Amino acid sequence: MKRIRIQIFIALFLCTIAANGQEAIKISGTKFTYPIVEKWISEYKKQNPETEFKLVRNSSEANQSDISIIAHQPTVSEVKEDKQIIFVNKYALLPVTSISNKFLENIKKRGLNKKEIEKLFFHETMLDEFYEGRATKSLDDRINIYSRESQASSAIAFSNHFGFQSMDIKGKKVSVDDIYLISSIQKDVTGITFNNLGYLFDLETRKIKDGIALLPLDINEKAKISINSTIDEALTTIENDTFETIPVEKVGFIFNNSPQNKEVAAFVKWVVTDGQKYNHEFGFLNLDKKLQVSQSEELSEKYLTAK
Amino acid sequence: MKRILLLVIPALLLGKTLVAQNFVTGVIKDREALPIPGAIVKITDGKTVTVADAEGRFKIAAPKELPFSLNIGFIGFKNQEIDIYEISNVPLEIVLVSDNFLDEVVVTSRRRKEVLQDVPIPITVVTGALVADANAFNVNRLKEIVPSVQLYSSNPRNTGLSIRGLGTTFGLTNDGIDPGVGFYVDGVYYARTAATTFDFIDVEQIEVLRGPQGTLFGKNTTAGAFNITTRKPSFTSGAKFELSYGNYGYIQAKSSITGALLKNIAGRLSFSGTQRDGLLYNVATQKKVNDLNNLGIRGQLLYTPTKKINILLAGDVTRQRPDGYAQVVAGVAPTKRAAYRQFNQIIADLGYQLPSLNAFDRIIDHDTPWRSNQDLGGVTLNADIEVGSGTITSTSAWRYWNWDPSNDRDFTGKQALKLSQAPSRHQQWSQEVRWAGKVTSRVTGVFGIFAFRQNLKTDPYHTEESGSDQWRFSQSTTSELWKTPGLLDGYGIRTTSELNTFSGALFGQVDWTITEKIHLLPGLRYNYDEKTVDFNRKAYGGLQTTDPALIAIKNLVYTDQAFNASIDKANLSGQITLSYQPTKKINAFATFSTGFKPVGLNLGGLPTKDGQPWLELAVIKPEEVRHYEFGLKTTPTKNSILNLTVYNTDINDYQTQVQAAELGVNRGYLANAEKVRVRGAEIDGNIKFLKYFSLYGALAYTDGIYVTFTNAPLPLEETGQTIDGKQVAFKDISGGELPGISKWAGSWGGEFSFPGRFLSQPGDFFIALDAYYRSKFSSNPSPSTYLVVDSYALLNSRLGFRATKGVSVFVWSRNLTNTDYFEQLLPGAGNAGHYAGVLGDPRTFGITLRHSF
Repeated sequence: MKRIRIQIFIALFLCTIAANGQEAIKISGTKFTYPIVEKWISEYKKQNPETEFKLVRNSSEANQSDISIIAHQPTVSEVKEDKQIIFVNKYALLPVTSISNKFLENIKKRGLNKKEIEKLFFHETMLDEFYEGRATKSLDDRINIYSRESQASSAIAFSNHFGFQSMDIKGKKVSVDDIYLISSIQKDVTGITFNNLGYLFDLETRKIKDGIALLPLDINEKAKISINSTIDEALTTIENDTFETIPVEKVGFIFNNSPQNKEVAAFVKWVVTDGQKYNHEFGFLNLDKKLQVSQSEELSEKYLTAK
Repeated sequence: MKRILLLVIPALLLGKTLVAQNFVTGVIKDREALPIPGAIVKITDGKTVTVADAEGRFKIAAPKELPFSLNIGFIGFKNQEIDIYEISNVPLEIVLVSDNFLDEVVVTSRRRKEVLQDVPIPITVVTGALVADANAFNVNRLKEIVPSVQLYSSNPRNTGLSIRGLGTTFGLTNDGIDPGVGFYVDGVYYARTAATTFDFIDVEQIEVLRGPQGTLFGKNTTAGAFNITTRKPSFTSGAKFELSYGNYGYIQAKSSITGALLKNIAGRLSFSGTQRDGLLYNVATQKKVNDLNNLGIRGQLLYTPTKKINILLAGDVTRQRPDGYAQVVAGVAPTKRAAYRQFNQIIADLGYQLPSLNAFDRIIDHDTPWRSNQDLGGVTLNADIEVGSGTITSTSAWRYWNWDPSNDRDFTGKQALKLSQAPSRHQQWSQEVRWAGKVTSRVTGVFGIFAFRQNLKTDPYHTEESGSDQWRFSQSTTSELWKTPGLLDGYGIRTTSELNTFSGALFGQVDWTITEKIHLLPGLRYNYDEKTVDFNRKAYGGLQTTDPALIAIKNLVYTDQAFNASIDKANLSGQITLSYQPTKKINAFATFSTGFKPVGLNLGGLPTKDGQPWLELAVIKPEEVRHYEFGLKTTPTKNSILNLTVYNTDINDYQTQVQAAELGVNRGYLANAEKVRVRGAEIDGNIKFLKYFSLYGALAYTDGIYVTFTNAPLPLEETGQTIDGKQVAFKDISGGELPGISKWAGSWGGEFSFPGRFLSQPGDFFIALDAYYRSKFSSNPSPSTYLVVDSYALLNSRLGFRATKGVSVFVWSRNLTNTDYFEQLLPGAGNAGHYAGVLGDPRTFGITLRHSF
């Protein structure tokens, strides 16, 4: 009996090693992209069941990933000489607060312009416009800004759009995942944050999640209405226009640029072509056609064409 | 063996996983990505703290419940709070941003939390931390930090607290009038200025509001207010112990412990004890006098049945048993009396010499024991209930003050005055209910109703008793009858008096946002005051005789007096402030206000007129205040503030305590000066720079004069003045300086602190200097050439280490340059010519150890 137990244990141990031996493609990076990445993996595997993936959630193994996901403009240190970046889709960031935030009414009148958003998120002084028409500047009425840590993609993308660095965003930080920014404003009704559409909207009902409200922006009425109606209308509006108050950033896959890295390249190519049709479902914007085509060609040429 | 390994390996793996899940790790860097070793990482429940290592890395045990918050800070950097919803084994990367910004000061004077610079009232804020570090453990020591505040205390009862020179009377206290400076501790009005001599226990913040504030506070505050808040019970356990040792046998111990008692009930217990040897040597008793011997305890229970209701029950007891408050003869003024009535001649005739002619030798020869026993305390029930868009606050309080003194008011070793004792018992009851909140989206306000009752009575009577040498001090003719043996020995007066007052008020102030930048703040106050007094003074003792000539001499010294009065008066006063904030950096405001101080009753006896008590002075008229003020609060840069105020206060029928030669009113008596005016300018600022330096400065110019006071008693040196051969007792002092006001007073100082470790604890090393200067001021209600306190400057310093959590240690010195100075000068009873001084403390130094956990 004892021997059997030991044999089972050894077998399990060997299985683990064997599984590792299959060289699953390890993917890690910006957490808010994980829902769509999971979808991509599952759809891709239907056509390529032999390819194994491991989406790394919570580990320092992240550094050894085959694909690193970033959702901000990469720096030189992030895309070193032996690396390649391919952009896979885009996302937009919108400011949001609790539906119970008493200042919401003030802003609803006309919406925030770019300067006011800068003041709200980056300047030390209180946003006077926020208090317009209000008698009080009591601290009880003070708003709290929530954002991710300074190395988080959404924080970098948001700050860069307004000409700042992520460490310039004032207020409290929330760690690990952008989804917790929503939790923060649900907990603190004076809280204001920003987030991507996939987290702001309920992906089932396609409506804005309960208890939160988008901060009205100083944009045209039609856009204002469509952004507040469903995630699909919001995506279409943002895809078809450019708004100075709405940061839009690309999501990129960084991987080793060795011509032998075919398995990874094949998956990435699938994402920039076939995988695009899932973007809207998960709150992401499609890549510009031109970029999509050029990247697809580049991948084919570099990795997937027999030489 | 294999089996063991097989068991151990998974166990180790499992163990590792568990450990990893219970810790948050990270690295702390600055903007340039350089690590910040020594940065402090705290779980915000306050229980767990760690420090970043040389590479800026940290590892901290996570609480069981998620989410929780981390607070990361370091001197010279802005604090950063991080909410943790999920424990990740990916290290956090935290960037701290350099902080040269001034901490935002939050005040509650308008019954809500606001940023100081946004409030259109000139307010000086002193934090509890500065109070503790600067060893400023009572209001008296605070005046060196706030130059607009004047405090004079020849003993706790005779304490005058003024703001901009106005507030309480100068000299010895008269119990029959209301102070113009409101002294509030946790929302409770303290009616006796004596209470301001208590040692601070667990003070969180002191806000000094300059100028009339009658529409914000329950009791009248025609000159300004002290709004003191103490630390409240916390549901997070914590404790702090502090022990100080210094020269002159100084020992001070303070402790405070707080925590949750039940689910919704938290408690706090605080203690303070201070002892110090006397600073004067009394050759008569061969003992040191003017020591400190104070004990105070404060207990609080906080009940929070819901998030919107806070109920706080607090009780405090302070016991002071100093052998002290003796004054030393500071000089002798020649009077206009005959040569035989001059002080030096009197003591020569009695064969007496002062032990020293230099007050700063700190030697006295006082035959009557000094005693200043004081007990004070009370119970407060405070409820804060959030209702709709505001908060209702109810504050019910009962307080007591028992005073048992003994003074040597002839300031000599001769028995001129054998006894001078005014034991009193005081009780007060107050109830305030107010609502503070938003009326509409453009209007906020504070509205309140206040009722206050007090009873003050002699316990059982006040005594002034002459001794065997009084005949020579009082001798006003060359008649040999004065030498009659035992004529005045043991001859005195016993006064029984009782004062009952009721004060009711309705008050309100609104803040109306006219436009984004312009606010109008009107306020009104309806005041009703009722006062009754029974005063009965009986002469006793001395030689029992039927000789009319001897009786006449006795009557020159003391007479019977009796009167009673019952008065009531209603009054409406108000204020209006217009504030304009063109930008966030500038807050300009202009205020006009009227104030009212109710009628006063003379409780220290009445002077005589034509040999009879001057009964007209039993009740003195109410005081009417008209005040104009213009203020500018600016934030020139993120690391500095600069504020300016100019003001003018006119008071009709100013209630003042004047000093006269008559022995029967040796405490002085109340009178109305027809009109006084105080005008001035104040400038104060703070700046923080190069991360580790902070400087502050405050300068006050105050010009206070009697515009009209035609019937003031003569100053000491003019005692005995005759005009056309007829003795006069009064003069016109219109245009003369108000007492107790230095034209210039300033405080400035700074701190340099830098991070480091001491006893392997993180914290900061600091060195701080505080300077205080005030120019000369009149120390007598009627300006005198002699009773003038010279200008002086003081330097206080401290140096040490402040731990974030754990043991702090620092050394301190007050009056570092050992400057000799008077805080106050007072004429000897009967105006023989000598005057006494309240001496400022010499250089003191010591060490403080503090342990908080």
